[in-house]
Amino acid sequence: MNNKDAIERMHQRVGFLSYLPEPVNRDLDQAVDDYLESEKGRLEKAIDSGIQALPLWLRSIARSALR
Amino acid sequence: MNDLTPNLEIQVELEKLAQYLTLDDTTWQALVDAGAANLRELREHIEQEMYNQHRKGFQHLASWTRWLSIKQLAKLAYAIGAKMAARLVGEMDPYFAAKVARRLTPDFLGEVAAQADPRKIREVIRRLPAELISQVALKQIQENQFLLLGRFADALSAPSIREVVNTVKDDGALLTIAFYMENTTQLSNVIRMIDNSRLASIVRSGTENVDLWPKAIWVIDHVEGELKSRLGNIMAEQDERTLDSLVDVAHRQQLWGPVLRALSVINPRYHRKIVNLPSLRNSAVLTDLVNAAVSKNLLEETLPLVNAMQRDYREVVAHTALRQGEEVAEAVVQAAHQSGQWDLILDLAQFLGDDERNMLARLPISHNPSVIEALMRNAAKLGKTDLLLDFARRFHREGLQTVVEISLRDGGDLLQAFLDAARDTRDGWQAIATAVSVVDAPDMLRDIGRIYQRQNPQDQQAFREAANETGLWSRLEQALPA
Repeated sequence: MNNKDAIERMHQRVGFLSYLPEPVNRDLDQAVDDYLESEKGRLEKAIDSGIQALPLWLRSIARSALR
Repeated sequence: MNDLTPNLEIQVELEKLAQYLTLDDTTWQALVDAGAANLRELREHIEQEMYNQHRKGFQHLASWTRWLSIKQLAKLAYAIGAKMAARLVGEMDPYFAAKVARRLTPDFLGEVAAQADPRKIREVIRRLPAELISQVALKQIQENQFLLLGRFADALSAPSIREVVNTVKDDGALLTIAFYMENTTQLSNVIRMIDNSRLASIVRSGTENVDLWPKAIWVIDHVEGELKSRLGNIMAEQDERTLDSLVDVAHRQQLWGPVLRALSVINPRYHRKIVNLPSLRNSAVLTDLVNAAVSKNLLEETLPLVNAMQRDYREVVAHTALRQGEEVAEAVVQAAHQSGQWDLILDLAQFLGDDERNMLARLPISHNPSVIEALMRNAAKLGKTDLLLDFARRFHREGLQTVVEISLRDGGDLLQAFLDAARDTRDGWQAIATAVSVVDAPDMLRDIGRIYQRQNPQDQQAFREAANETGLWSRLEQALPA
C-alpha cells in the first residue's frame, strides 16, 4: 500500500487525522496496522490450539468457521 | 506512560491507546493536541477492528455451543484458553454465558475479561454473582489492571458494586477504578451506593496523596449535581495544610476548571476557609485561577468565592484580573452583570489605581446602557456613589449621556444621590458638572435645573462654580425654571 492509500485509509478510520502532520499520520497508521496484525496473529494462534481442545464433532465446525 | 499533558481526559485516553500502540515520543506529543474525543474515536476504531477479527466465525461457533451442557462448556473454556473463550463468550446468549462463567475460577475469569470486548460481555457481567465479581476485582487490583477494572465497573450491577466496595479495602484503588470509568452516569450510581464514612475515606485517600488528588478531583468533577457537592464538602473538610498542598497540585497540573466547578457547589460555609489559604496569596496561582475561570466560562461561579476572600486577597485578585488585559476585565464585568454581583465589582474597584480605572471605563461593556444603569443603581444602593463619580469622570461622551439620562429618571432620584455624595467626595462637584455638561437637550437641562433648585445654598454654590468651569452653567442658567 502506498503512502497516499495509507493516509486515505487512516482518514476513513478517524477524521481528525487530517489535522495531524503527515509524519505523525504515517507513524500512527503503521502502529495501528502493527497492533492489529499482531493481535490477529495472537488470536489465530489461540484459535489453532483452541480448536484442538474441542470435541471432535465441534472441531470441524470450528475449523470451517474460523479458518 | 508518563504524563504528557495536564488535561486528565486526554491523558486517560492516551493511556488507553498506549495499551495498543507503540509510538515514538513525537507522535504521542502530536496526539495530545488531537483532543480527548478524537483519541477516544481512534481507540474505539482500533477496538472495533480488533474485535471484528473472526467475529462471524465465533458467532457461528457460539450457535453450536447450545448443544453442550454448562458443565461441558466450563471445561471447554479452560481447554480453549482465555483468548478464544473471551471471543466466544461475547457471541453467546448472555444468560447462558453467565451460567458458564459462574463455574470458572476468578483468576481465569479475570484473564477472559481482559481479552473480551467490553460491549459484548456487559450483559454477562451483570448476571454474575457479586462475590465472584469482587474476587475477580481483587485479583485485577493486585495486577494493577485499573483501566480494565474501570471499563468493567461500567457494567456492574448494584449488588456487585456494594460487594466490591465492601471487599476492596484499598481506598486509593477504588478511587483509581472510579477514575477510569467511562460511563459517568454509572459513576454517579456507584458513588450513590457508597455510605458517607467510606466515601469520606475514599476522597481523603485522594486528598492525602498528591498523586491521587488529580484522580479525586476528576471523579468529583464527573459526578452529578448533589453528589458533586457531597464529595466537594468532604474535600473542603480537610485541614489547611492538606488543602494548601492540593492547591499547589491544582496549580501545577492546571486543574482549576474541575476545582472551581467543585468549589461552586460546596457548602458556602467552607468558602472562607478555602479561598484564604496561604497558597492562594501567590500571584502566579491567582493569575492561573482567574484565567481558568475566564477560559472555562466559570466566572459567575468564581465571583462568590472572591467575595469570601480577606481584603488583602481581594486586592490581589482585583489587580491580577486587570493585569490579564481588557478581554478578561470585560468578561469579569459581564459575569458580574449577568449574575447580579455588582457589589463585588464595586468592592474590587476600590482597590484599583488610575490606569486600571481608566481601562475599565474604556471597556466596550462600559458603553452598554443596561450595564451603566446597573452600575449606577448598585453604587447608589451600596453607598458607593463616590466611586461611581470617579468612574464618571473617565467615561466617554456617550457613556456620560447615558449616565445623566438614567440619573434623571424617577424624578431624578439617582442624580440627587450623587449630589448628596458630591459633598464628601474629592472633586465630586466637578465630576457631576463634567457629566452633566454633555447635555444639550432643553428638557433634560430643565430637569437638571429643577433638581439644582432643590439643593441648599451652599451646595448650589459649589455646583455652580464647578458648572462654570465646564461651561455648563450658561446653558443651565437659561433653562432654570422661573
